[in-house]
Amino acid sequence: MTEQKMAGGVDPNTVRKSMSIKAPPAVAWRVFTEKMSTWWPLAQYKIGKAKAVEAIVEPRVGGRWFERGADGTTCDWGRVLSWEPTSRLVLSWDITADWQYDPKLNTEIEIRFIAEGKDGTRVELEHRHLDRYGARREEMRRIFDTEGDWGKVLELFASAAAAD
Amino acid sequence: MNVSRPAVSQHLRVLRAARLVTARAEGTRRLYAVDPKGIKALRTWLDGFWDEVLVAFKEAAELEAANERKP
Repeated sequence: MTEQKMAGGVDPNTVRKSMSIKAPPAVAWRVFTEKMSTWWPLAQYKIGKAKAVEAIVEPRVGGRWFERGADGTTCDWGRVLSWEPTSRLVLSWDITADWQYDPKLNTEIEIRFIAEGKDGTRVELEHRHLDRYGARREEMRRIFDTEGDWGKVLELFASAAAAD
Repeated sequence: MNVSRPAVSQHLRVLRAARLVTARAEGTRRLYAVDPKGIKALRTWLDGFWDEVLVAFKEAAELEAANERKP
């Protein structure tokens, strides 16, 4: 479970998450940037038609961030905006509310890797400029952040029951 | 309960279809119980995109760090 950061109250255009991990920043950075295919939930979070088998971040500013399908096709997700091993990575997230790539969308994800204790890392993630989703900002903020309360579960049940 | 029996049965059928409850027959009755697996899946989904991605990352990074510590 990650923690919410609420400094300065709720910003409707930004989702913030942070967590501590038992790995030094250099390992955290390497796993995040070089080994994304091993941990990104590709079964759920991908946009191409083909089964996705890899998630790749090209290691330079301007590099592509994309998925590769089992059939060899690729689908872009965004671009590398800042590349500062092993402390800070900024990626654009150019996937629309309809889960299509649009290079003009340009929401941003900043990930900071901060040394913590002996061999630990504080990972802070900020997904910002959600205002670029326009009328669908709130819908997307909920997807990225959390729907997590039981009132919502009951609402879902109520709507499913009503539709049955 | 201020709900008719068929309405309750119908609601339980919806929950069962969503795998939030399990059902077993006992005589002419059907007994329903919360399905912890279904609730867990729902929880995961409700936790939001970035929670799920970061938790997956945490597991991978910690596994990598543990492997490197091995002599």
